Amino acid sequence: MIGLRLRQLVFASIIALIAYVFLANVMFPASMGMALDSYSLTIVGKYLCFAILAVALDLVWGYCGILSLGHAAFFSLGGYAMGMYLMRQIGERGTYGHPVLPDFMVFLNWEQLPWFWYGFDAFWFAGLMIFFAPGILAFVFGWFAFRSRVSGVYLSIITQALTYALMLAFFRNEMGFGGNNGLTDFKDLLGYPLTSDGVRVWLMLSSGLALLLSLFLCQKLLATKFGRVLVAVRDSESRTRFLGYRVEHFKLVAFVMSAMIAGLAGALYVPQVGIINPGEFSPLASIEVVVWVALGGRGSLYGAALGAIVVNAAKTFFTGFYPEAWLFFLGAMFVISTLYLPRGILGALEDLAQQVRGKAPKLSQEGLS
Amino acid sequence: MIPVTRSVLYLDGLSVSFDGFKALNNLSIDLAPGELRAVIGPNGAGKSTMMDVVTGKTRPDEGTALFLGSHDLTVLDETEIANLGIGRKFQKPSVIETLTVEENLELALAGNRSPWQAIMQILRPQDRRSMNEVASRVGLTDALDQLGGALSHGQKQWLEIGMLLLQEPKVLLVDEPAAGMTDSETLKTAELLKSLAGEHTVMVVEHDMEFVEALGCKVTVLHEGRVLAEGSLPHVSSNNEVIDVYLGR
Amino acid sequence: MVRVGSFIFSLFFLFQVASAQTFDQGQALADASLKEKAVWMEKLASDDSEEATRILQYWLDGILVYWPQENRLVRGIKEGRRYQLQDLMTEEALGAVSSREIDRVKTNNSLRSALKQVLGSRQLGSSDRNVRLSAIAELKRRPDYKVLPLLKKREASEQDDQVARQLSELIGLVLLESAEANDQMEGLRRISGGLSPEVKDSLSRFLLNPNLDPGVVEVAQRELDAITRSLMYWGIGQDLFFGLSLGSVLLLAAIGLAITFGVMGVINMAHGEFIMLGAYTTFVIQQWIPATSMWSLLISIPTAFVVSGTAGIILERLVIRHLYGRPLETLLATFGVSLILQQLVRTVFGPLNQSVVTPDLLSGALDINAAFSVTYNRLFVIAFALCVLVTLWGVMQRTPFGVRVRAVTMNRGMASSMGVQTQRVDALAFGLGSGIAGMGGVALSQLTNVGPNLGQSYIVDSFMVVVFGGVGNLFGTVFAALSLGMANKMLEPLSGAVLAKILILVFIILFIQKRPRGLFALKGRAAED
Repeated sequence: MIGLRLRQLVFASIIALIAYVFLANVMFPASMGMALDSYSLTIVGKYLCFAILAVALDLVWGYCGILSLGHAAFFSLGGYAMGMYLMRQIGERGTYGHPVLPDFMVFLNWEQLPWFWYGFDAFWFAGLMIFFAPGILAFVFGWFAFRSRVSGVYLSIITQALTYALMLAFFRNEMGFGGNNGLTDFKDLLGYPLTSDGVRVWLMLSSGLALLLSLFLCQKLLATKFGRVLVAVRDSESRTRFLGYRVEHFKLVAFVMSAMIAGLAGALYVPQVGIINPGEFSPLASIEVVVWVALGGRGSLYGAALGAIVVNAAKTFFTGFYPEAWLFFLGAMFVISTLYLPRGILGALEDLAQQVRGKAPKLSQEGLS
Repeated sequence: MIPVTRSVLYLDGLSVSFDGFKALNNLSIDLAPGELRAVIGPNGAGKSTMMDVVTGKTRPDEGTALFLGSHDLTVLDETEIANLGIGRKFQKPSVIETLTVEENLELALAGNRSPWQAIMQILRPQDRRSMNEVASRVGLTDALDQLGGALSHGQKQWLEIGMLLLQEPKVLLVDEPAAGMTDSETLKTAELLKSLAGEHTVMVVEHDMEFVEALGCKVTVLHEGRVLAEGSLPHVSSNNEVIDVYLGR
Repeated sequence: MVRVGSFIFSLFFLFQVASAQTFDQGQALADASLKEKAVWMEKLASDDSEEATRILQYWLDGILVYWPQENRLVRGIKEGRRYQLQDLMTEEALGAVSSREIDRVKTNNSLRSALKQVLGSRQLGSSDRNVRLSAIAELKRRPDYKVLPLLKKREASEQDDQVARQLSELIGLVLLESAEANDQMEGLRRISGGLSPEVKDSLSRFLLNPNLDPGVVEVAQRELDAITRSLMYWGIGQDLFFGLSLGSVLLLAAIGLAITFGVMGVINMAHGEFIMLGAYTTFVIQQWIPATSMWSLLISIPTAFVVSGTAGIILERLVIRHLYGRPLETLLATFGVSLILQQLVRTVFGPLNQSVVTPDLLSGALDINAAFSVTYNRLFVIAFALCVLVTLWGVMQRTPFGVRVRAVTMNRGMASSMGVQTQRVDALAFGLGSGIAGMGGVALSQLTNVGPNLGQSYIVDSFMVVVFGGVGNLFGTVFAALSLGMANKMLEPLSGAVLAKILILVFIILFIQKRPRGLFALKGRAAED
């Protein structure tokens, strides 16, 4: 759909970014003055994580037609899994000095670590949970939702309800996830202090690599027959059933994969921003992800990544200089992208490029509802 | 389960109502293996609803629907029924518009339908051959790279027929195949369907009387959700009730 | 000689200008330790005079002050760093002094409770029945056997029925404190049938006493069981009432959504903001017409309808119309509009909640008994929702417009080919739905705080109602709204507000598996898109 050249352009830009940071921050000494400072590193790292999340959503929305309005829930679950590992790494260095219990548990007068915290002191376990927790939730939710053939707007609403319920739950202190303060005050990751420049650089680079990996894997997947079935499900679900395909299973596979990628994004995000709290589960957070993908160009993967970076850059700009205007801008972005940019920025660029080249525009989609 | 009938498709006493309107009213019809049957009737007679019941899209309020004498169509869903070997070509051409002709055909290929297989699968040479064969049979060899949505109405119909063929179904339900086709295309389609009978069982719903004549098979006339008359075309054309309801004087 | 002298001295004080006070131990009182203060309080308590009452009252209020310069007790109200002094009896202003020049007579918690009790007993004799009632209520909190004679004396002369009943109950509670079985039995008899929490607590405490007569224990236990049972039933009734009022709010909020979704298949994420606009309309009208009058509210209702309705029509024309047939895009675009509206309100009115005042007519409650009271504002909301419902039903069933709306809901294509101008119906239906939301906002403003985020709290609930009840059927929406409202309120005391919400959400998610189109969905091929 979206021109090959544009995709390659985005891909190349990401590689260029990673290469630059690698050279400037890691290989050449700081005296060269080209290195990114820690603030910029964190910001770029955040953007890259958001891009991964956007790609994950594009997989189920752009290619399979499932408008998930609760995808930030999977992101947050991955984030919490990483957060729990990082909390356990604090050990005795917390304010209360308890070797096992995190501060907030001591504060609540808890005696023991709850059972679901076991194992998180080991990185490999946390690493597994980063994928498992969102994956299992996606599996259970998707199993029930897709089997009952809930679709379209109804499905979107219940994904909102899901993330809303999770938000309410995680806000409660009794749940054992830090309540409304969330998990924070992390010290180190795999033995390396989070505040050190070296770790920041590697986290950012990892985010970039993870983004490339996600793009690569998703693209490979979508190039197989599986990808074509997904498109068929998106555009003619009923017809696909009559062709003999178990639509529910295909949706489920795509949904679970997407959730796991989102979880990865969350896990890389948390050590870079230093905190995870239940606000990440808020319905608005998930809907913002949708704007990234819609604006960038859904159904292209690269457009989604682009959209995530562009919108978040705008957010950083606005909240820094004109905080009141940010929500106006965001709201306007929703309206404009749905009314005038049905294929997003990438799609608009492609149409432009084709007009310049003098070709007739390709078969235009009426929107991919 | 021991087959209770030798009919390939056995529908008995089917009734379906939508909010008070009886779309099917004690409908009974059966198809013998390898038979070619034409179903005609005025609009609203229940032809499409009957197909909906057979393919699992609609559940009847009453009645029996058996495939191969043992599979109960009233409890299976669309996917299961399609995989059992009942293929349908829709009234409105419904190919996947955003995939190419080739990709549409690939999807229709008979075979394992699981997600894992779809990820792993590489197209085998014999599959490619089948696809090319069918493509040429339906006259779309030159259009393989075109998007389904870019095809003309007639081409879409043919693509759908092609997809149906690749599914290798035991029963073909064809809903108004001649709609929107030129005269020569119509003849071609009739020939194709006739050639399919024998190996497959084919039920054709049509309005075009010339097309039905060209098929030269047994005809069932539906009216208000039930069978009004059955027999050869000349036979039903001379039936007074049929004339009153449908054919006119 | 000295004694005569002090007598004359005190007489002199006594016969000074009528406003002069006779209490001259101010310094002693101010300097006394807490224990000594308690003794002083007892002394003052036994003094029946108006002066003693005032001293005790101001002491309780924390404005009793000793003025060494004049060697007297005065009222002292703190203003900044100085104290405004007033005469104890006449409240005549005596000037302002710095805090260094006076000595506040302090209290602590136990003194305060004791003071309350003493003052309570005094107020028993007040000519104002409300004062007597509140005195009795205060005394019920800590029944003191010592005041029994005072109470009995009062009972003999009490004329007002309601006060007499309360007094009898109080005496009953006091009698329970006695060690005598006869007193206890009479006490039990008197409190029988009472439903206030004080009665229940006293009974429970009473039963903890190991020295009770078995006969007494039996009666007491029976009374306690009876009260517990009654309280439970009335509690359920109260929850049902709250559930009904919440359900009414949900109904007003959701019915607009059901209309727009039914007619156009569009989920309007800005719906919550239309509710919010209605609430703010009420606030704005209150700035011109004082809120205490019922007119303010009555005018707000149609105004909010027009404001939100117009906003709805504008939204439909500018945005939704262009996204026809693409429900998911519409969802996103309206979400954007919702953000814009919220921020607009925040910019114009500020991010903080605004207070919307309840008119006098609707303030207060009907207390059926101690365990069940019906607040007028909730009653209003329920009645209002009912009116709206009936009117809407009338419009839908009996007017040509309503017929057109229903036709388009059921089968747009067919309606269009029969000459119904679907575009106009869309715009008007959208306006209708949004207008009702606005009126819902007016109702909501009477129950809760009005802020820019008001819409967000109710949008999820409205969706749940629409999803649960199905679309195209007014009755379905009513049923869903009321049952979800009740369910929420019934669960709350058991599990807490948050968990109740979560449970209901989970229930809806599961419910949708069974009935993807809601409880009362339209059937048939036409509705199946």
